[in-house]
Amino acid sequence: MSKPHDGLAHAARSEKFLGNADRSARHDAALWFVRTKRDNATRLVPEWEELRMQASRIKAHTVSNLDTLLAAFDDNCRANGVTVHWAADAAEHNAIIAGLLQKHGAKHIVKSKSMLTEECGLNDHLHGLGIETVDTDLGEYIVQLRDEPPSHIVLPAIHTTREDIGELFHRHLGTPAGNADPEFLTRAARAELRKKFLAADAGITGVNFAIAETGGIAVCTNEGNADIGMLLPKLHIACMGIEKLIPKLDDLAVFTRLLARAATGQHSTTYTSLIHKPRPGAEMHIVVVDNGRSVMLGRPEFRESLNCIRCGACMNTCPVFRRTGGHSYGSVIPGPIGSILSPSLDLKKHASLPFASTLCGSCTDVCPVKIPLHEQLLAWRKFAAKHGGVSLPKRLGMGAAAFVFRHPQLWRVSGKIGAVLGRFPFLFNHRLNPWVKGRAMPVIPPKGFRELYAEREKSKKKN
Amino acid sequence: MTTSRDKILGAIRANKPASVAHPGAFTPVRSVDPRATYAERVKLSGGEAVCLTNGESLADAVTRVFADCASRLSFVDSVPSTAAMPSDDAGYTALDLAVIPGKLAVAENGAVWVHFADDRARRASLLARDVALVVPAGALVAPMHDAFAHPEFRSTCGDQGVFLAGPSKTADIEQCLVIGAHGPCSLRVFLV
Repeated sequence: MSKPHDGLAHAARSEKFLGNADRSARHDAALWFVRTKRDNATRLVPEWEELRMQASRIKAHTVSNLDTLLAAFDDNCRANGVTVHWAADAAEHNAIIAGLLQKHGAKHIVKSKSMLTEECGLNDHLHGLGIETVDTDLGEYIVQLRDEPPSHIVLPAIHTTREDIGELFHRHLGTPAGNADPEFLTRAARAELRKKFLAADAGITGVNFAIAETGGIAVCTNEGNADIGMLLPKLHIACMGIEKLIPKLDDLAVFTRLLARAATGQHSTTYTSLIHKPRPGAEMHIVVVDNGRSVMLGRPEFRESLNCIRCGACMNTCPVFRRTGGHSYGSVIPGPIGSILSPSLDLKKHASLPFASTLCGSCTDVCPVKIPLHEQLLAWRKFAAKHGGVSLPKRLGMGAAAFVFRHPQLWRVSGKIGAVLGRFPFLFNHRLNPWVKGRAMPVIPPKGFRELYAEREKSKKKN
Repeated sequence: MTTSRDKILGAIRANKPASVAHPGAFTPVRSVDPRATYAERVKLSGGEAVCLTNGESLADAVTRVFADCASRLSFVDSVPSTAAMPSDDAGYTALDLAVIPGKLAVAENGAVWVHFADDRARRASLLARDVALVVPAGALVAPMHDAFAHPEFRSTCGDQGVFLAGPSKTADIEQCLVIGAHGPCSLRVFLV
């Protein structure tokens, strides 16, 4: 069974990941490589910034008309022979899907990437009912076998090595021990999963974009697993959050130009499937899920986070994510966007996430739909501070600092004391000072700015 | 009794901001040479754009390029099949090559818009080992917006289709690119 996310704060979990310096460095380099590919691809699109602006404006229109657009989507799907179900929360989502599967006597399910189903804990729920779900995206298949959550929304197994996977496949698929060749291992997974595809009773997919105007959905993959999964079985269930909606079919051109480039630096995903109708002799259902999204819609400072197209670019660029890994966040969606979405669902559990940032703003730079991510992280910090999300020692420390800053005389005296103490490094270079864990103490000059300025002014007057 | 649909739409209505107008159509930059860029972007996606040599028929070109494909199932009239239509999914998996007609080619990303009027063509395109796409040369557009505006797309997009760019692939094992994940292991496009 999938282990539940525990309640440890981000910093504590990061320590574990950072404890393995090799792995942290490798993880950092791998994600920066993906960021570089994104840069190379976007440079080849002269109107990249205009596309981002267009996407942002389309989303602003969408969220401000979401009810009418969703109603239109529902009507158009029905006219196409697709059944739409509405789920207010995760439990309802799981119940609807379980009900459909049980009605069809489906016991073996293949599922392609859907962070929404991860958010709702679908696999565990179905397992409890005796329904076996296989995640068919290679990265998700790997973490499923490892019994852990994905650590990145696009690159689920980025935290593993080929040796890890070689050993994993040896245990589960019977590949030769010690074989860690990526191509060999991929072919082994292909053969195994092809069997699962052929034996599946139902296919569950996510939805990258849902089109209100025509009632269609777009599903984007590189592996083709979503397409095979929705083609072979007689039942296809597609799951989407309410924010996945885009108004017009033409808008899909904008988003498909942005998605793959931002995510992995490809000019397009291999498969961008556009599905409007069920296949002959098969059933197609779409489950539309709220689960806190309408609440987010009502928060003006965070509303734009609903623009997210789940590309993962913010994760690839974030220095904190790169060095500490997705599992350090303890949330379904990690990284900068996850640190904004998760506190809305559970502030107590995820209060540390908005603080797991240097506010460098790189995430905001790369976001294809122009979510002001680092500004929203700051806004969450203010909210968290007001609602008990900041620990007592930190509150006291920040309070003391604020007090000193508000009293110039006190600040001057502190500066003078600091200059004196700074001459005795042994006072600071010890275990009780968290600053020196990964940094050197700053050099404290013998004279402060105010003193030097006063001296300079005095000598000017003399001359 | 309020349904979940009513609950959700009600919550949205209560929380949504003041209405903002749709920005309207997007004007792309048309700076690329479609033919040259197309071949380059197909290559980047792991596929190959094939040119017919002098006087060569499409059928001959396919035979030449896919010399090692014994069982071939074709949905293109001018290219004959060498295998019978499979009766089950295992049969499609056993195919070496699927020859599929495409409606449009998109230069900016090397994709081909394929409309699946025939469910069997879709099966073959996903389960066969290799895929050949055949697209009319006159149906090459540069940015995606032109593809979406093209009559060949608009008349076939209401059903089932895919923008297909290259063979299936994954880089989930240490970011090492492996061509041939769950779908086909190779893809070639013939612009005719």
